[in-house]
Amino acid sequence: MTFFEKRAYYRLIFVLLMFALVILMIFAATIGAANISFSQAINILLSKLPLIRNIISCGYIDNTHAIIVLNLRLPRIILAALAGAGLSIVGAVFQGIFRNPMADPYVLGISSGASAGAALAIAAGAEYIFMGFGLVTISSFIGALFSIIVVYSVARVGTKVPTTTLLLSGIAMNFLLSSVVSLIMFFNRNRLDRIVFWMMGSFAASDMKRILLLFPLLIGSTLLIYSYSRDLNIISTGEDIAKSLGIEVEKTKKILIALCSAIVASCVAVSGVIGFAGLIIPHIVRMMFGSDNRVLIPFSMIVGAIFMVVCDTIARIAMPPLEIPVGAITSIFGAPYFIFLLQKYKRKEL
Amino acid sequence: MNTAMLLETRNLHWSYGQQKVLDSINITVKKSCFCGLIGPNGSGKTTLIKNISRILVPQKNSVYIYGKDICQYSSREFSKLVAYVPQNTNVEFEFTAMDVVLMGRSPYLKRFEPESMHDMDIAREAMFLTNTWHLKDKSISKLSGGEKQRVVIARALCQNTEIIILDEPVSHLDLQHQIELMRLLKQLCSEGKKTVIMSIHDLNLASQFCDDIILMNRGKVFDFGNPENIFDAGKIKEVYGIDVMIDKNPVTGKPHVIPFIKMN
Repeated sequence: MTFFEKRAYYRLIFVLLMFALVILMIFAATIGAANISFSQAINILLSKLPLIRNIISCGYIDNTHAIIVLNLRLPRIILAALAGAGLSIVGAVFQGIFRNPMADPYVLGISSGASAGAALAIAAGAEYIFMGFGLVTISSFIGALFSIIVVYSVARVGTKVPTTTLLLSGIAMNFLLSSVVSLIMFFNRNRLDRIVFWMMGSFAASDMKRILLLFPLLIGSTLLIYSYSRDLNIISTGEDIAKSLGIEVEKTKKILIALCSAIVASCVAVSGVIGFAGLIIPHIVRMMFGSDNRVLIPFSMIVGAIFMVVCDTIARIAMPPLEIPVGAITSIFGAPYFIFLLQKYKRKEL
Repeated sequence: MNTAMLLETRNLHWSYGQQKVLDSINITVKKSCFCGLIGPNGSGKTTLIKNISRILVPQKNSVYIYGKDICQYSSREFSKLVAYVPQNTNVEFEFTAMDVVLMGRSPYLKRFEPESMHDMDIAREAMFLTNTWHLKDKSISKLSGGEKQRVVIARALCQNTEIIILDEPVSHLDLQHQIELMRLLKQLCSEGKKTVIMSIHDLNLASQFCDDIILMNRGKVFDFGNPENIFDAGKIKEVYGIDVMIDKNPVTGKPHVIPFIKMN
């Protein structure tokens, strides 16, 4: 069965996944450290929906509880969903352009690049706002772009990017950039808490402002990336073939890498470095629905959002009142999966 | 300009850095010709193929198709004119053979346009011709080398181009599939549907099927002509450095190259 024949089926699954995501987000908003009952949390959420508010009476709502659900939990859940979606899309795209199933923004040091950029900007005290974007975000984007370009040029052999050189140059980049961040931290102890936040990855400091930064950028980049999904299919089967099929390979790769860097940078700027979502999610989606990027990219987006909301909810509620960094949770799932993939592809390359 | 002349190179040069790989190549390929490119390893066959299929961008005014410099065609125009089949294809992802063949329709589709029934029909026909229809739902990464090669050729047919350029397409195939593929390409040429340029190591296969042979040596065209002309013991000796005997194939009457092998 081809994409053409299965389009109706894919659309149905996509709608179902969207629905599952929304239900999950509502459910996640009802659980947490503060003792708010499920029905009460639902009431608070419903009371904010413009139409339903007039139809159903929502009963008594405790004001403190409303603040907890609407101002603390909900922005955080939305941000987790956005970051999960963004990182998973980037993972899927990187795996396609590098023709390498092990590619991931975290493993390749792109996230570290973004965090080093952000840390530099913070250390320099450059927290101004420029055309709606914080300089921290811009610096983080430059860091991400810089590291992907270095990693790619070091890793490639001719037009191929072998797994070993790709992973090694990613690791080297990670080492280099983490030491840069450590040095920045060492010299800027007064801003330590802000920089540490970027290193560990967390959605604890979520607010509407961050959502407004990430949301339009993510939607815009994703639509653009999606418009290249058939080209990406062909590039993932070989660059020479892609050229012969009339695709401007270098240009397409550059555009996709820039869009991905923007997504990674804005994800890192709002939530710090969160590893492995970009690796695991596209793999799971591929296993279930095949490798066609026209399916893979939108599905990775939704499944990635679901994954991140689950991980962040675990991070919030596992050890109250303490909070586990969400990066630690994703790595607990991701690192073993990464090792499993290495085992699998090792055999192929021998 | 002779209208029968489809592809032509004029003084084509190519270097990888300091190393000169192609040195003033002048060839002409007629429409509906089945043209074989032979020569020892490192003689520049693959580089020539990549130049005329624009995988490598040739110098301006050195490769012409329909009398127009190929650098002047847009990517999309060119992809409707020339299809390229690489030496080997390794796909890491689980595309089905049908998906891969359908990619050949890409030059004809708009950015968000999915493949239509019409595209499916073209793909099916290409897969019947290459005997790969039974593989359509299998993952390309799980196919054997020969099956994969035939799927990639089906994709090139699906691209519906005037010219198909193939880089050693038969090297990975068994005898039966070698003959089947050569016969198919020959048939497409003689029906006037395609013009084929392929590099090939097997001199006798080239002799049996090709209309024209380009013999390359050290980045230059050593000789160019029909098999009877090219397969000459002296020329082979000079290019390949081995002694051969040229016999006649008892069935087709085409030259048959037999190397002298001394056993100690």
